[in-house]
Amino acid sequence: MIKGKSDKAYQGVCAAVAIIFALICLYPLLYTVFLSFCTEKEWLSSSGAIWYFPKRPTGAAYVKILGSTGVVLRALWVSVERTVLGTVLGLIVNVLAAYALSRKDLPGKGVFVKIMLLTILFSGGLIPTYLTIQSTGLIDTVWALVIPGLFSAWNVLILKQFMEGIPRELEEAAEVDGVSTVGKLFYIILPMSKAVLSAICMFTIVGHWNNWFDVSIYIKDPKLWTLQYYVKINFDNTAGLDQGKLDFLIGQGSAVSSITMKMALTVISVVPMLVIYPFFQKYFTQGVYIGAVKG
Amino acid sequence: MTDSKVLALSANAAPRKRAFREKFDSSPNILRGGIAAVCAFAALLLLVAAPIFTFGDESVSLSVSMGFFGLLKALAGGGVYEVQHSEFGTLGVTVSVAAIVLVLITATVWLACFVLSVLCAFGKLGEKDRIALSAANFTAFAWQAVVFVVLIASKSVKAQNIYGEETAFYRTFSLTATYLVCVLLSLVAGGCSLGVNGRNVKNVRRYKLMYLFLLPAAALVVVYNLYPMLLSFCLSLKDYVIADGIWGSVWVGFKNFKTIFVDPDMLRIIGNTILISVLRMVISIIPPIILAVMLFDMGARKVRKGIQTIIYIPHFFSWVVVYAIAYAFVNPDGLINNVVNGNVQILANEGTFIPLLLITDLWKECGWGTILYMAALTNVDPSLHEAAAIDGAGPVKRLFKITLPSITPTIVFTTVMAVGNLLKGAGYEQIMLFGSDIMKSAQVIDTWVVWRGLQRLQYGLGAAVSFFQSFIGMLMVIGCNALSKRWVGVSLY
Repeated sequence: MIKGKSDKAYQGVCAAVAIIFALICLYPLLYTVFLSFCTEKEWLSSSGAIWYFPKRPTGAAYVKILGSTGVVLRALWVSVERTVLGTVLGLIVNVLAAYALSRKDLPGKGVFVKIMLLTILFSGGLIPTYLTIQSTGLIDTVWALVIPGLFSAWNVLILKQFMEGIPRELEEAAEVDGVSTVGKLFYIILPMSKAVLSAICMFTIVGHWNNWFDVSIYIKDPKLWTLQYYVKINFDNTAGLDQGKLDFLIGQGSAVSSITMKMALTVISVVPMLVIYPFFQKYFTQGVYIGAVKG
Repeated sequence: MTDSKVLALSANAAPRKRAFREKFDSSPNILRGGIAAVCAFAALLLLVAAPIFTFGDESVSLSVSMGFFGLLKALAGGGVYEVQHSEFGTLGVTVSVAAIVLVLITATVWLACFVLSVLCAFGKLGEKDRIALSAANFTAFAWQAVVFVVLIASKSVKAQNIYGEETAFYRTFSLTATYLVCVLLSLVAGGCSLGVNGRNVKNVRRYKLMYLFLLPAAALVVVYNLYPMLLSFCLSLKDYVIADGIWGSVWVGFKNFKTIFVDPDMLRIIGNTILISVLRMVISIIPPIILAVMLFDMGARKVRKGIQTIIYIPHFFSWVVVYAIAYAFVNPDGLINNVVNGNVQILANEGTFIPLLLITDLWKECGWGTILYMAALTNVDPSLHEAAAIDGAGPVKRLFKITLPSITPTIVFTTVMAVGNLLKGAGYEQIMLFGSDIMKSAQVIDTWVVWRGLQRLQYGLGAAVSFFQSFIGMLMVIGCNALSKRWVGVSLY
């Protein structure tokens, strides 16, 4: 490719903008980490103007949050529980449905797909959903966070479309060899849909881990609060906190300032996402593209 | 029973079963007409034998159920039906003639369906008449749905309460579950008379296991998607009182919807929703396009990969975490206040609320927003760029002649879909975290449903607001999707 001066200048400008944007994305994260290691002395002496890694870092906030009370660990456990249950059961339900719907001559397929589209376009809304969850007895159980979201019309449509693209000859060959319906799913369909499955898996995990809204609606029992909701409560200064919530507040009477405690808590709540991110990164471009454009 | 006897019986049953099957496969009319006939018969039976209307008055907790014959008697008596009641003695319940006629027509439609189904089952119907059978059943469905809506929502159907005062029909009467079951039956009958044919019967038998696979999903859809939709519709026409429950609360017609369009607060909330949605739409479309083009044009593949990895990260954080990070910067003792050396109130402030929403949204989603455009850009044949460069096209010219046209379909699609999402696009999670229910600019449809509808127990009004939002939203998305399909050939489904 021939490159003139204007080309180089243009590329330079583009690179500069992209790198600056990446730094803007990165710095707030680092800043949060900086604050979480800050001592109260340093925080007070600089009166809040810490924009670099503290000179004398302390891990006291982390020790206190994870060590002294079981509250955060319990919230962490609830988060893990809902994420694992929701992802595993959700994948089972959606993969089975997509497998059935990927049969081209399944009677009733058209009706079911139309109903799925309806659930995408039209939702009952928060209040009817709340009443349904209430009348199925899920309020104040971890299942209220899991069951209503198990079926995802989007995921089924994406999986179905992918499975329909798998050459029919492969399945027919397997049938000749005497592989059963379930066997075909495990030996042919699933291995071939690995990329899509990984993308869906990633988004389900992230969705469950990050969801605090359903906890705020369906869960009143503090023992079932997830980590995200717990973080939210700790930043909530407008809500009137009753006695039940008080022992969930952190940062009182500790060696570090309350903002350091809060930031340490925030960092703890995002670490799991950062840990799984690299494993799924190569798949999600593909997943998003399939989901957003073709559907 | 001994084992040998069982064996003998089953040996005897098998050929008979097979013969039965073969007969079925050769003439699906029996099955088709049979199911439709059973449905029609069941619906007729329900209409005749079970109560159709419940007449009630909340003030004295009086309720009388009325079946088909009661209605006929009332018709004969000029609309008045005499009821024996343990507390009040003999009561005259007034039923409007219009209501009786509507139900009589329903019964007639069902009778026609039944006759047609029986004819079909005995193979007396040709191919065209069979289509007429399914049409008749679907007509029954549409008719019943219309009657249902007319009777529970219309003011023009009158009735009298026990004091003899004239009120709207829906205040004193409520259609019972009988009628809803009839509606469902007509759907089943219509579907079967349309869908049952030799090939389908064979396939259903072949795919037995597939239906088992579909069962969990179907059950979840019915319970957590379709049932809430029905509730949403019914609740929005009711004045919900907790003590009475969903089905016991009185119908109030379109009162809730009227409130939405008359109440100035409600109109302001809808306006605010659209304002925030439009701003977010601009933020979510234009910056990612610019960023994607620059990322693509910067060359240096390895650096680009690294940058992509970084800019996607914020998308995977929850709004809680984004709020926490924003809090670190803008809290009263935070970095921003130290830099500007003042005491600026940024959080929970009407003036800075919307800018704060937009900036945090930009930070969280801008990088992720590039992903679609990058996918479109990398699909462009690189030789196009090279050829243009050889022909002497500068970078700016190539940008407008090659790069932008290649992502135009994606841009049109995302824009059009964002327009379709205007009523839901305000981002309630973010607003609920950054704002509070006392802030005016934090009042959008979704937050109103949580703060006023759910938390202050205005379920009827809340459901009406959701229904309005969802219904208009659905029409807008369908319309916009059709536009996108027509303009650039990209569609959602």
